[in-house]
Amino acid sequence: MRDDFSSKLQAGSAAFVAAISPPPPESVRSRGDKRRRRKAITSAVLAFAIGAGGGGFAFTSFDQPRYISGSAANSSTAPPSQSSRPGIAAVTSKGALMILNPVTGEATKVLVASGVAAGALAVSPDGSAVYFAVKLGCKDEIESVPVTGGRPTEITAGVLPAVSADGTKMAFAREPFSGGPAHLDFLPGCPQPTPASPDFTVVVRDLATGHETVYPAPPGTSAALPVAISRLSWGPGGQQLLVSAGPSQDNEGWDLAVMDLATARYYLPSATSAGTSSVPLTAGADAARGYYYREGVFLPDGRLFVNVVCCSGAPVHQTKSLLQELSSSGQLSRKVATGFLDRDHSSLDVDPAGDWLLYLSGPDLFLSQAGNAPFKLTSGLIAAAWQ
Amino acid sequence: MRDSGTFDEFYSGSVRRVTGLLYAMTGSHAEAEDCVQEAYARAWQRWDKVSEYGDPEAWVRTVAYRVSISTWRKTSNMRAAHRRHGAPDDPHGMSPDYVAIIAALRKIPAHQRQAIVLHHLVGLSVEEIARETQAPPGTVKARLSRGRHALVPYLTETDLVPGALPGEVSCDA
Repeated sequence: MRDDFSSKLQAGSAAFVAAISPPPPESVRSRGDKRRRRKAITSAVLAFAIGAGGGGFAFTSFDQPRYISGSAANSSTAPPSQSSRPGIAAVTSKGALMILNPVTGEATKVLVASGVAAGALAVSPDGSAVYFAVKLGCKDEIESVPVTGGRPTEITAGVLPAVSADGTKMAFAREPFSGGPAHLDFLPGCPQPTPASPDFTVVVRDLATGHETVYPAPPGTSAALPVAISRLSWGPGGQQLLVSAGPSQDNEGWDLAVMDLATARYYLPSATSAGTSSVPLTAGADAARGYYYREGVFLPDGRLFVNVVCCSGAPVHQTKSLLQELSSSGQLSRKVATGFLDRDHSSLDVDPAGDWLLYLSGPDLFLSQAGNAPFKLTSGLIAAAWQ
Repeated sequence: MRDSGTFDEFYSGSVRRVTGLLYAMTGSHAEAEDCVQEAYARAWQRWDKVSEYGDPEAWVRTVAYRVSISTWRKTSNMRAAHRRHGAPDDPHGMSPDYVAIIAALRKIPAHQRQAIVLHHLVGLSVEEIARETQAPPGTVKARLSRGRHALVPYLTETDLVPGALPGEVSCDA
């Protein structure tokens, strides 16, 4: 039966193909060559558009493309650097740690297949290792893995690793309970905070000796209302640490504090101790109107790259989300972009040369070079950092 | 470096077979020709790589099939076919059995039709179809079985109904 069906199908097809007259191969090759030329032109146009900062249509760039070096008062019109785009380490929404092609956004290497937590990544200054946090039950742990691949190495308990520019020290946060680096969403089955619980602490660890210096919250900070830490960033000289903190409760208690590691005793400002001070909000985005720093990192020249959001308080209702470059005293240097109001903007980072910025807008990775409008590179991420 | 000589030889030796296959899959002469030409054009575009594949014809078959199932492509093909040929395909000159088979194939789902045609016309085994369609062998068997059952109502003469394969999964299972 089957043979009869097959034979009739084959016989019919043979008769059909005997009657057709396919075009000569030259015309097919000509069609293929046209396709090839079209593809080359399209690729060139896309490459030009991406290189020129196109694709940033989802964001509004406040300024004309320009590069400002130093403070706003010392603005320069120097052309953007043409340095090449560094690599990117990123964590996917499924917890995989990967190295991305910085031009295409495609993964070029999977370093850790799963289990990597959201929050900050840190790449060693020589680009040889990536530091990241994993959740192990109710515990957090910082590990490192070579960028060339290999077995991760356990370092210590904690989250939010940040490696100093000379590669000798790692700052990180220790949580009083597990639940995520920035949020108070306690994990079911894990210890809940009590007034007797230890608070969040910032720890600076000597990577060679393992010696740790611990910076707690100032006295009076209730463990029942701990001020979460969402990001740590080293200053260019290795003597300052920028701490993105908050909220404590009800979308309140946000702070962006600069710790002078030589004199600081706490990671937040305290009336009883100098050494840690808050970065002031600028006049256009002042605290009285509910603005707050959601996250900030140091730029290589000592300025800051921040996300300023309005407004604090409950219920959460964002009316502004601005990505800006500021002087160390909080004065506006450059407006980078306007963020989406229904998204968190995180993983702010700058490459060691200071040319390239990156940040996550929700799950989308945006890049910006030297003052050009940001453009979306890829999506589906929960953390990213320049390699 | 693309060698036009080897491409021309490959094209001349395989284009009729692939067109016959696509006609059985699409039921449209114009659409089959257009999809096949597009597939060969893409093969020439990257002939330096495609020519090194073990079975370039399988690559062209797969590309032509994918082109044919693209909705956008299908719509534009129909318009182009209408412009070129005016009326729908004329089955004049084909055997009544073949016309009945083609008409019946057009009435079953595309994946089942693809499996039936690759097996009964091209003569591929279940494993070969699985490799070409990137589907598990069990899925291919199920498509063949269900396709065979789906053809029954449209092939009134029982000797036209394809029989079951050895070890084929029954759609009743």
